[in-house]
Parts: sequence; C-alpha cells; structure tokens
Amino acid sequence: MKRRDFLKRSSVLGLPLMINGMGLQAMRSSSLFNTLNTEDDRVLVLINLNGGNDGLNTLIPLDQYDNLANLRSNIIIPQSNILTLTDTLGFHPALSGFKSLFDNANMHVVQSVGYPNQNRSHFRSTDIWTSASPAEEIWDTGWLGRYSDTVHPTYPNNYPNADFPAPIAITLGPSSSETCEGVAGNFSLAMIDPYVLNPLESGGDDIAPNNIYGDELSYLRNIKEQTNVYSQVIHAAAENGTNVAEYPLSNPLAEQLRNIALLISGGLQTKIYVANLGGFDTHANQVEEGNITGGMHNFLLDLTSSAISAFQEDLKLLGIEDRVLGMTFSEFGRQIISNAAFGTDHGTAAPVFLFGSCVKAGITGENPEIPKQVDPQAGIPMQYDFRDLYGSVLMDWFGVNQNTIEQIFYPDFQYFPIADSCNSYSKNKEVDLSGFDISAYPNPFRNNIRIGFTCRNERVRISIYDTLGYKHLQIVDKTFHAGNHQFNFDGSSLPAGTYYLRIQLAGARQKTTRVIKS
Amino acid sequence: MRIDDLSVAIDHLALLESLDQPENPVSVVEEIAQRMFPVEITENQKAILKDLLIPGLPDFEWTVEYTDWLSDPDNPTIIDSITARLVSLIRGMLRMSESQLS
Repeated sequence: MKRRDFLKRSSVLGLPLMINGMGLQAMRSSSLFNTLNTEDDRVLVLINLNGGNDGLNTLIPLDQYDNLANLRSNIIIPQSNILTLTDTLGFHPALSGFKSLFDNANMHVVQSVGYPNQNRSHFRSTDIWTSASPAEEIWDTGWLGRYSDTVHPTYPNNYPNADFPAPIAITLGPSSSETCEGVAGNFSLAMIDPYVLNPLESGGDDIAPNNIYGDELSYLRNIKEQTNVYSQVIHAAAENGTNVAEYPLSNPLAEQLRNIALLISGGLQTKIYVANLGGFDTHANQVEEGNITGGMHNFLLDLTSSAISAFQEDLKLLGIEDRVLGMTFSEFGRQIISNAAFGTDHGTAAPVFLFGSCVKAGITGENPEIPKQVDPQAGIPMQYDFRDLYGSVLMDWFGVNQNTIEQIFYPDFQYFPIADSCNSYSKNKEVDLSGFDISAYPNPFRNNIRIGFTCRNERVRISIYDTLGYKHLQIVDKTFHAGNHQFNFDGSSLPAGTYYLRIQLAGARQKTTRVIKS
Repeated sequence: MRIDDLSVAIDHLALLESLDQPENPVSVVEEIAQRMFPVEITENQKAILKDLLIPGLPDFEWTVEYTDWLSDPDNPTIIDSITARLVSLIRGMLRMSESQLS
C-alpha cells in the first residue's frame, strides 16, 4: 500500500488504529487486510478479441514457414512482408505498433496459450476463458469476479463507499463482462463512454418521440441516469482527465482505450477495465484474394495494434504508464490448415499479448512445431494453460498470494513471470529454457515409446494430447531428483495417429513435442 | 408467451423454442423485442441487442450453436452456453426503459 493511500484510509478510519480492540473490528478488517497485499493504484486492462484470433498469422513461426506455406498456401503472409522479431519469429505486417512495443521492451508474448480438452464452440469456449473453469465444468463466476470477491467480500452491500467510490471494474460496451461476475453480482459497470454510460438505459442517440409515450420514456431514462450511483464519479474523472496522444480514427478499440486512459488520468480508482473488439471469426476472406496482406484479418490486426500502441503512448505522455498492464485474449486460435474460402476454422491454442512498461519484455515459450502434414482439423497444441497465465498476472500485478490463486483457479496452478521492474530497458530475450528437454524414441512408435527428460529437483508432469486438444492421459506426475531420466510408456491403448507429449516443469519451462503412433 | 410477469423465472430455452425463427439471431432479437416492448425499437437498439446475443460474431455462428443444441439437446454445457447468451440479451432489454412501458 502506498503511503498516501494509507493516510487516506487512516483518516477515514480514525486514528489511532487499535490492533486488538474495537477499532480493528469496526473497520471492515477483511477488505483492509486484503488490499494490503495489492499495489493500490495499479490497473489491469483486458482486451477481448471476439471470434477466435488466428494466432499463426498473427505471430508467425519463421522456422516453420515452409510447412506452414504448404498447409495454408492461400493465406500465408509472404516472408518479405513479415515484421521480424527474432531469428525465428515475426509479426503480421499490420502489427507495426506491436513491433514498436516489442522493440521498446513494452510487450510480452506468451506462445500457444489454451486449456486441456479444447471446446471449439464460440459460446462455450468464451464461457471457459471468462470463467476460467476447467473445460468439463460450468462455473457461474468470472476469474476477475472471484479475485474481486477476495478483496471486496461484502460487495455489493454498501458500495460505493468512502474507500471505494468508483466502480471496481468497468466494461467498455453495453453489458458487463462475464470475467467480472462475482458471487453476489457483477463487479463491472458497463458503459459506452463516460457521458453515455449505457445506451440501452439512456437511449443513446435514440431520442424519445414527442408524444405521451416519449415523455414517460424520457422520465424513466432520466431516473435511471440519476440513480446510477457511479455516474457522478465517472463524469468527474472524465472532466479531470485528459488524453495527450493521438488515437486512430474510426477504430472502436481505440475509442474504448482512449476513454480508459481518460478515466485513469482523471483519477478514477477503478482497477479493472475490459475492452472488446469483435470480428475475428475469419472463416472466409481472412485475406483478400489476390492481395494476401489485405482482408479482414489485416484490418482487425491493424485496429488492434494501432489502438494499443496509441494507448501506450498516451499513458507514457500522461506519466501513468507504470500503473497499467494490458492483456489480450480470444476464445481460441484457428486450425493450421486454411480453407478454400481464404479463411480459417475454429482451432485451439494461440498466443496472448501483454503490454505495458512493467511487463517482463520478450517471449515466453517456444514456436509450435508444424509438421509437413497435419490432420485436417488440427490446431496448435497448448503449451501454457490460460489459468496459469491469469493467475500469474494477478500475482505479479495485484500481489495476490499463491494460495488465493489456487482457490480462484485450480490446485495445480503453476506460476510463471509476467511483470518485471518498470521501465527496464533490458534487451528482449526469450525465456531461458536451457537445461530442459524432452525426447521420445522411437518416433513413430508402435506400442512402447521411451520418454526421456532433464529436470532439476522438482515436480514433473507429462501428459499426452491429441491434435484436437484433448488430453488422453496423465503419464507422469511426481517429484524427480535433478538429472536425466528415462522411462517406457505403453501407448498400446491409444488409437493410431498424431499426439503431443506435454511436459510441465516449474515456471515457464513447459513445452510440447509431437509423437506419432503408427 | 409474454415476458410481462418478471416474478416468474424466464425459461430461456422454452422462450427460444416458441419463436418462429429461433435459428436466426436477427429474428430472435426482433421476436423477443416484439413481446417485450410496446412499440418498435430502433435499428440502433436492435444492433446493440444483437451484439449482446452474439458478441463480435457473424450471424451464422448463432445458427451453428443453435443447431448444435438441437442435435444434442441435453448437453449441459451447450444448454448453459445458449442460456447465457439469452440471459445477456434479455437483461439488456430489461435495462431499457421501454420495457417498463406498456
């Protein structure tokens, strides 16, 4: 907790603080002590790319280019147009803003993020990504809602209050994000902009007709506006705030991010913002026929990249860049093989992009391995579980302890570093995965395969997935001593086909390797 | 079926089945709006409401999900997902002052 926040709280609570007496009991102890763990002025901005973004044409594995070019020949970005990040990785040409962020150590890319037993329904997979439930379970709260419940256990009773006059979260859009659904209600206020909080409630541009019905409609709309407990504090923040950078025009995501920067700079205490950009469901015309760097995906990535880079520039000019961390997510990636309509169909894992001056700059994870031939519906095998990403963000950014994270997500939660010291101009580098490998021999195999790996003294988990993202077996889950290890795996119960062995060691040392059962 | 008694829990899937064109998201918004509001709402309002039903997605994806439900009607995750979209739509409608006038 920052000093000024402590002073502010103390003055509200009245001094002196008593540790054992009534003073402590009378001050909503749970919320105070929970927020002691958090950095109180930090903000998380979550950007939902609705529709399932094609990760392979967003973050392009250059060392797999030849096979990719065969499997998605009608949509692959020409090599000369790719914006090179490292020797083996590049961005789609529309992502010049992302490239600048990456080069300035303001971006962290996490490769192949997904979950076991991928569901390829938009609705269901969005529910999974917003609730952070296992794929097999239905949870009716969102991951940011469950986090907020730990900080505000009595919400919404007595909210807003002197300590929390602002919405806990804000969704830029007509309805509250499911990510913010808590036990007793949604923590986010839905708003289009600070002056039109909700166009469905206020009518937005739709003026009431000039008759008796219209008079009554206006009356009801005005009452709603007046009774919105947050409208005054949001208006005040918007009046007090400003934007300095220029945002791209005709860009709905830029408009949302501009409003977020405005409210943060105006002193609104909201800690979580959720923004949205739809249209990523690119079954057809993902690229334009005859103009492969044009088309829908190019358009959407340009919107995303230019909006986020303008936002980051604004935060920097406003002097608040150290307070904001951003993250994208999408309900799935897309299949490796493109379709005849110059598009791609629903797939599995995909990269996630984090941005801000405090991110651990660089790349976590290895490039996916693209074989010469793949099953028609094959997606990208998961390397990192999205729940580990979410939990690591909450640990690094809001100072949540790991026990709480395990309760919010799952007992097997595995931390890997997301944030770093702010404004570190350290060179971008890939996370050190040396001294860590997994081998499988023979490959292809008939029944038995010998799996080898190297580890430290640590827990080792190895599981086997198919190309649709289904987890078939947990082969190993126990603690090994440091060194090289080998064991035989009897895969006779598996149908013939392509599989991925996934190994999880501590931290970001997680990878997948392809094996074929003949 | 009319949605005029909110003290009764809405059976969202029964409501969906009662529509003339449940497979078409434009019709889903249109038909529920006709039952919910005393007057025709604007195209702008319909567009916002449709985005609550299928956020950021093309119309045909509603048809795909609806068809998936028809072919596997007892699947709890499909039921939950479709219901969640309908809840989102109807809550959006209930936010509108128009739903209080009759």
